[in-house]
Amino acid sequence: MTMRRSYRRAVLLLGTLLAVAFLHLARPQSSSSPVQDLMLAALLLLLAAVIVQNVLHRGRALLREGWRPKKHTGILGSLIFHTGLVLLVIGIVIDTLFSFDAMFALSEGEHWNGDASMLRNVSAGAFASTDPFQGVSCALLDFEPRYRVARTATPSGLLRIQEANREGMSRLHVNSPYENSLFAVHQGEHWGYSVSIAIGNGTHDPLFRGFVRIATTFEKGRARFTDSIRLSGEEVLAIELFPNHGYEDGRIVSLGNDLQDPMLLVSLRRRGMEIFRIAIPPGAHVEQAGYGVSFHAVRYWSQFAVTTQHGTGFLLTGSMLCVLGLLLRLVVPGGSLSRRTACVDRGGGS
Amino acid sequence: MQIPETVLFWLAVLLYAGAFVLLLVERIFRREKAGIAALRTIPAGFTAHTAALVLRWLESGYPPFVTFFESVSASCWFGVLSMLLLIAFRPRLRKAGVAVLPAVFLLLGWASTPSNAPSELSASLHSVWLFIHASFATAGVGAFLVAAGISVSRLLRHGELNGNSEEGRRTEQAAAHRFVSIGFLLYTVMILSGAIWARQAWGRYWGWDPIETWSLITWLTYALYLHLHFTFPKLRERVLDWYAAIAVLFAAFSLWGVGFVYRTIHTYG
Repeated sequence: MTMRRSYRRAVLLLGTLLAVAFLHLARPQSSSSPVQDLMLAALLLLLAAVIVQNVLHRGRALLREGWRPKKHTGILGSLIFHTGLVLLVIGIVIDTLFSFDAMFALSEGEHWNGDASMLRNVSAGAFASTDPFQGVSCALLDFEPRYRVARTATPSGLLRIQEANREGMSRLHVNSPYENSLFAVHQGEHWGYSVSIAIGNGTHDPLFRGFVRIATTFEKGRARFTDSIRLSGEEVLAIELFPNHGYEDGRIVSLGNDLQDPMLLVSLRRRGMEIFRIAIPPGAHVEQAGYGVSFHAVRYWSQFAVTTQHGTGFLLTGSMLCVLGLLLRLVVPGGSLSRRTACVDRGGGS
Repeated sequence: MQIPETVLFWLAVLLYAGAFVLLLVERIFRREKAGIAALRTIPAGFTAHTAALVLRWLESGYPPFVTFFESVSASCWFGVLSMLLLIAFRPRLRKAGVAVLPAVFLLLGWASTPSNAPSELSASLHSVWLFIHASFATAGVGAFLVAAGISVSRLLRHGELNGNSEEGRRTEQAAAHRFVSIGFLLYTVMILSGAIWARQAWGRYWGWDPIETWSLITWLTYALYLHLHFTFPKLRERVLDWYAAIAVLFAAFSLWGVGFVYRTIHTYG
């Protein structure tokens, strides 16, 4: 094997390693498309091989000939661009390793005290803090499912956010998150209804008291708001909310999904047997089969995303340097075009 | 689409098609007058196209980059603008129009086949980033389109080019490379601004959504073109011409095709 061939193989191997390392680090959650993965891997592999070849060749030439400002001014933009890219990669690595993303849900009037155990869909980097929101408190004061943004509507929550040394209110929607230097809270897409109910048995012992965030399901294109609460090992309370109820053939039906004239349909089952089924309007209390059920109120609940901010400085500086470098590359004389021409003229190259 | 906009849009398509025919006549029958007439027809088509886009903007109230039709139309507009600038500085390179113009009027025709009415702008698109992100995306594809046009016209005239002077060939190659560089810059800004917007809207810079992934694939494809250009100066020009001609398909797919193949959160409208 000649030296030249082994050198090329070394370059290719190094390029492969770099590409695989980048893919492994930057893509912890692989996409579902193998075509995309293959394309990315192939391109990164080729690019890494060409870059390593370029760096080795030009680096050796630079060491041999020394820095000549007149000749090398044109690569200033390139240098700045690649510095920017390196900063971007550092920012991505920091973000991947230290970031903490999660979701939480709040009903109107509820608050979250920063307790990490209440978070769902947690995605934390290898070095992320396990309890990054200590001292943070968020309360959902008000929620509007159709908050007007210009000519369209979007879910929007009004949050009161308390931190160690400050407190403020922020109306969140898709393009308006709450952000500070440590973390950000975003309005989530999912929302629904939350009902305040209490249920007791004959001795008036409370079996359940509190808010139930009702799940929204879609059947034949129509939304249904149903949920169930397991009271004991054998008893299950099934609830269905009709935000705007009406009657059809003696059956309760939903006339729409907007909260206009709500009604809660409650049924208690024991070992699969229905003990009772009753419709209750807000503010009412009913006694049935030895059980007392109170339906206090309906409120909205909404999902929010909370994320910690890491590596932002690197990412923003890297972005700016990338753009600046490319602009310089295009306008600085002695740049890309003349160099290729000069190389061709000399019959030079790599 | 309202009647004045429709008329102006189809007038632009017809004028672009007419300019293409004139450039073909110049090429096949060696009639230079046809080429000069084409040089007058393209700006006329461009004016009608501009007016149609302005009317669309006024009608919808948002920049015309949102629906599939608007995105294609705006990219073609940037492509023709780039070509006009090219012709203004390098009149001899008008031959590139033989490849750019059919792509433009075919794309415009394709874009107008589905519903092209303005859509209600979703709340996530009510942001200044829409203008920055989408305008750079469409302008980038426009620049790549012209680079591909120059390369394809060079490939079509391969035998003829061999007889040309070294300088003439280099001017064309340099122009193609310049447009790839400009497109790469625009595409970089598009990806970076998109990441910042995604952070603001969805809480993350990058989510490997199919459009994001294909944009990165396109960006890497052109990064590879530029690195091949710098690293291997002896690489045959034909290879780079083929490369630029194929790479534009990635750009077009990432901007307009992904939505037809994958489920993506980057929905139009």
